[in-house]
Amino acid sequence: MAKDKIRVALTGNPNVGKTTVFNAITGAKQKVGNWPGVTVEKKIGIKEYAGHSLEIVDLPGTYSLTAYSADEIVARDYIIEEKPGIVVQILDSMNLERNLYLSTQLMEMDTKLIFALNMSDLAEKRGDKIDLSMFEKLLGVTLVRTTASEGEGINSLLDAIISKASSDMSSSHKIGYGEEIEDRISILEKIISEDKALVSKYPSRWLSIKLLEGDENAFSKLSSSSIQPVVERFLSGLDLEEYEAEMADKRYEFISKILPQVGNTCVEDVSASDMIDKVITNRYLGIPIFLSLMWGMFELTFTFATPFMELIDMFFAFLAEVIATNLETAWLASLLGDGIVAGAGAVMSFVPNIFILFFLLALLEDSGYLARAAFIMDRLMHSMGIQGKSFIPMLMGFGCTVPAVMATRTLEDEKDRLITMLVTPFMSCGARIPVYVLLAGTFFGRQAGSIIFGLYVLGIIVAILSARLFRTFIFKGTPSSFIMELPPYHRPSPGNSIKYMWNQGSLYLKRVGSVIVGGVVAIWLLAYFPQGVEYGSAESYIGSLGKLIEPLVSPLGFDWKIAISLIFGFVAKEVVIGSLGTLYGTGADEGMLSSVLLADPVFTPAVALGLMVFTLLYVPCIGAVAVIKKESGSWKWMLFSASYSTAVAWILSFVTVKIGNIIFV
Amino acid sequence: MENKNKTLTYFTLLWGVTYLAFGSFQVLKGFGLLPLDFISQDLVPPEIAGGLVLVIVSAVYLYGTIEFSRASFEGKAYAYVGIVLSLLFGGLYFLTFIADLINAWVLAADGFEEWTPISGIKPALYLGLLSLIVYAAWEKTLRLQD
Repeated sequence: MAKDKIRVALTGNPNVGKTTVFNAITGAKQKVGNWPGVTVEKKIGIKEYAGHSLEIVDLPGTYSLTAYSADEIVARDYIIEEKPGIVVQILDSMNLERNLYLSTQLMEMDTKLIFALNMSDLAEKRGDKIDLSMFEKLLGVTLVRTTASEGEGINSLLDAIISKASSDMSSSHKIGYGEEIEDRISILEKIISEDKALVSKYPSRWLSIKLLEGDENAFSKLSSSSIQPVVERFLSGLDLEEYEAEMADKRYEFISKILPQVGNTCVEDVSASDMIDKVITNRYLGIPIFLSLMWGMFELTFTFATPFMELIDMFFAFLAEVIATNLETAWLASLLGDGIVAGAGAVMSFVPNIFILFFLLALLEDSGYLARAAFIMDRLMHSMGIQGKSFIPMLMGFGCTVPAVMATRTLEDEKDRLITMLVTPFMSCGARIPVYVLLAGTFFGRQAGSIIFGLYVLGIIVAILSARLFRTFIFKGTPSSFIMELPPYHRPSPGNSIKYMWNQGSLYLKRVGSVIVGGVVAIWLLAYFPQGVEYGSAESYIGSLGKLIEPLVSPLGFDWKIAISLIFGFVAKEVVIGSLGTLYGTGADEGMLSSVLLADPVFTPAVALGLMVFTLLYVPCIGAVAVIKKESGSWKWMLFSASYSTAVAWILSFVTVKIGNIIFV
Repeated sequence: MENKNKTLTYFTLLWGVTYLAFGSFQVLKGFGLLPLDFISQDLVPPEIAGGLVLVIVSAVYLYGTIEFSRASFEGKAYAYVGIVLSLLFGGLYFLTFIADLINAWVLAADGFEEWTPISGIKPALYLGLLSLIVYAAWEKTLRLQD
């Protein structure tokens, strides 16, 4: 039997828990975050429920249906153009007044609308009491209470969706905009009714209101209509900006009348979150506290992982020995021992670091602290030519550059967006951690955590200075002002953090199993052939290739093996370590990669530090480069990003090695 | 205006000065500006980054003292965040201690041959432990809202 398919759009303000609701309904594991702008494009999931097939669409957050940034346009266009069967607006129970502004606009669209009152547990804890039946009666919209993070109310929401889909009632609620504006709306509705095609596509009252607000997107809908000149003539004498402001006032007036009737919402003069923010965002203490927490995170990432790394190392050393003693076919033993075990094993050792770092990042984010980081950095960032909001994509870059570059869609100003896109790759992604942990642990012992922290800070500094440079010479102008809503602090959920850690960590494991094994096998082939030469020697194919490019990096103290590793690191940054493991052939006989590197005269502490700096700053992986091309829509910016970052990496690495040679004598 | 939080004022001052002293000693030892055996190398080891973190925590406490001296209710927020930071960094050093213990005594890992439990007890750890006791005793006093 064919099931009824119902398309359901999840919409709402940023950071109200849309993706949490989406995950709770569909069982998906989309990234959720405790800051605005995590979802920048729509995501689709399917849920089979009570004989119906529900297509759930998670839309980026938007404050209103007058969209400005790229992600808001995605949300608005989907609701208007795709006309989903049901629109579910997720409301943050703690911020009803602001959330209901979007509701007033959705109610004008003649859609089948449901409100999900999310985070109701927090609101109740605060002392809020909401009369659901009164709320439904006054707004004429079905209301469901949810606590999506706990999975509460999700079935009630699904029941409401199915019930609403089978009814013919759409949610239509008129807000009175006053006599003058209502007259204008009526005239426009009359003009629009002349174009039947337009009326069948868009609700005439909604379109009239948008035209009166001067919404450019609404004007574009008239471009092929015969009524366009009439509408233009009618609007030409009106002050649309004033109408827009007056209509916004009327909507807030409506909300302020509704709220006292539906219950008491507790508004604290100074909440505990506000009190904590007095300290955390203090103009003198904010940045030092941020840096100290970052340092703590990297220190723990390094130190707490060491016993687990030791165990993994032991396992791979054992595996290499088993291969060396039991396989008689020389080439196969070399492929497995020198190639796969040495290469992939070197990368696998760092799985504990990756898991710990992502767990700690998730804790910081879930608590609400990372959103403050953007706020704290705003003053500094603004003086350097970008707005504080840019720091959110940059922070996301600590995980992976690809979603971080996509997150620049939340920036309204095109220049801000391009600058942020170009500097985000300087933020150190998770794939670079193995390189730092290996080299810092080998050459700097107990100071490794501080060295890794220093690299992350260097990434932030280079990103901010580059932004200043771009703003001064390429994208002239001033950055947009920054308004950001700070979520209240709450105790982070270990369950959510573990889920996030597992999602990110398993991605790393998958990469080890695919790209990285592929990379190390390719390197092994080039290191093993032509037959008869010593494995990984300068006479092998890879040696010849390495010798060819060695002059480019020899001023940095790097030899051909490092050069080859960096070239292969373009595929994925973890391959840098995999390549070194394969090239140094750290099988059972050779001992661990760190011991081999310590014994190699090429690797001094200065060169190790220079290599870490180079890995931090040089061209990001192929995935990140591709997404820069896609998001900037230009080959020019992609090539600029790749060449600029590599040039910066070379210069700073050169300086690091030269200074290091003086310090670490 | 009268300062209604005299106990917390003295506490933030005492904790601020203590963190400042231990943090400064660690930094100065790290730069070689204090002899390593000053107080004790085990109890106050040279550590630049770790010492700077203690100085930052001390700044939060001392800011609280200043706010309290102005009879501002915000002083409590500084005392609270100071305690949270003390506990976080105490927790960090505790986990590091556990990891070192496993490396030295269970896995007999390279580089941990001379590790002893006393060498793993750093200022952030024992000051964090003291802060935990203070927090447990004054939980209600430190609560930012009733």
